[in-house]
Amino acid sequence: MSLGTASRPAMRRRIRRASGGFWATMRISAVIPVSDLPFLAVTVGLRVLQFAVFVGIWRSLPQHQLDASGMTLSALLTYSALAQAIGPVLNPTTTLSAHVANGSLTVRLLWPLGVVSQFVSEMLGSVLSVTAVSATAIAVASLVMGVPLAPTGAPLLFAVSLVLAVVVGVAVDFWFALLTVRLGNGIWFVTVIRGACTVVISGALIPLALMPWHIGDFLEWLPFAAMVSGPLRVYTQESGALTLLASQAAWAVALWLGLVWAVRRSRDKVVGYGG
Amino acid sequence: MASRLTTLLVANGRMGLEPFLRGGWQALGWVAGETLINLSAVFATLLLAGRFAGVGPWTATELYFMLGFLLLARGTASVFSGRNVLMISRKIGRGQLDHLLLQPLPLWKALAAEGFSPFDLLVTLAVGTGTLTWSICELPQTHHVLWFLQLFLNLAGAVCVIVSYQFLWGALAFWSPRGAEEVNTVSASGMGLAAYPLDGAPRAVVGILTTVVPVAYTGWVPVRALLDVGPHIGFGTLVTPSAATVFAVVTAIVFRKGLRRYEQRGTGRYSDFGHRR
Repeated sequence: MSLGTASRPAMRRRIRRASGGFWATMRISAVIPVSDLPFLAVTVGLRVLQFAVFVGIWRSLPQHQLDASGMTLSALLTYSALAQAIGPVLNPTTTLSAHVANGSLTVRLLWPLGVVSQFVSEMLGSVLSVTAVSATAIAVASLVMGVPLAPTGAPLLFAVSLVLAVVVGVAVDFWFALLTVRLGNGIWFVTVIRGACTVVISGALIPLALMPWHIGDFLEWLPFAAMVSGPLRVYTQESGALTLLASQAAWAVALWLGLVWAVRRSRDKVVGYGG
Repeated sequence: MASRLTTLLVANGRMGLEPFLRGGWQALGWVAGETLINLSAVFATLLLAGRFAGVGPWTATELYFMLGFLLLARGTASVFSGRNVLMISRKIGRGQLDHLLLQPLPLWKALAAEGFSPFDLLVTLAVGTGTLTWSICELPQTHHVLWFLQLFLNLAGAVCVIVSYQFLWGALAFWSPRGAEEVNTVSASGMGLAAYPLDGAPRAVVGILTTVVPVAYTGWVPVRALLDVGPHIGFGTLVTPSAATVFAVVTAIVFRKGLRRYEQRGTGRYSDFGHRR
């Protein structure tokens, strides 16, 4: 029997075990505890309020200046609705930084599942259930306020863009966890920087095309735009989707390759506690 | 009495200065972090004001005035309510209120002294003051002494609303220490809605933002009245100070009820996480 024939069943078993662990972790994380329901309700309520405020702002902008930006009012309203509806997916946050900061990452290294798989599956499970709730709430609010939700771009390209956005978003999250390690567990400071980057300069609130002083032209080359603004623009624009997808794919490759290299260099700085 | 509070404020201020005097990046990190938190809350409106000539009835200069007002109000509230005092639900939920109740001081004095942290918010206050001053000079209206008195009164009202709002929601932790420990984190995220002009928002939204989540009194309501922006909708310059008084009274009643419950039942939890770190 050759080594190639003997390793194939073993390889299949490993893949089945790993994927089984991934889906099981996702399912467990998707369950929202009853005690968290009030917080979820308030958080979703604040999203709806923010959406309603922005609808009012967009509808009161000077029309000629809006036309000059290249975005129609309809596209702008749809952009805001989508940003609020799938906001949790566009800013994927794992618990890796918290585990790095309190030293419990060493315990996670003992789990029978890869570190990346653990944190990504936990994040996906919780994010998808929260997104389902917020998307429903925003859809109802859009109906009430007369905001169009139909896509202008191709739905299939939007789906691909969304997947790429999550891949880039997870990489960005892992990079911020690495920054926590390099800054000697300065998690509060890293969280603040991350909040400013992902909310303000990613195009989540104000589309990059509407930013003044050509700031948007510069920001659209950053990875934050690839993880947030990219899928929103694919959904609301008729053209340019392939260019956006290409930039997202390029960032996904660059960030993950860079992460592998940076983790190797930072491994000795990780502090563990417990076991 | 006043000199005792002053002594405590000076002592806590000195403790806040020590990380800066020791050197290292930690103190600068706190200043940068606090500045980023406050500026990112107003950045969206700043970008809109820079891009468009105005939003609805607001000119760009009036929007900058509102942002300066908001930064100054938030910065002032944070100067006297730092170190998790503004996040009072964390102190209650983690059992850290006992640190204050054990002191031979009235609770309000102990909170005011412990929360005094002027140095972290220096940049925020400077940016807020600078933006407010610049926009006052740029606005076409001339302003008399009475108007400046109204401005200070509304700023004080906005500060009072911020503190009352956080304490009112944070008082939930008396009834549910574990469940409501982080309720102020959620309520603080609602304060980001204060940075936007609400003239085009639905009436229900304006109603919520002037009652349950009264962040409209920290920016839109007082500034609209001070600058007389848009059609008159009944918000005079005394509305914010009046609302602040009402919220302060309601918060005091609810907080006292919670304290009485806390005195009878205490708390089964204790964690020193976040205390003087």
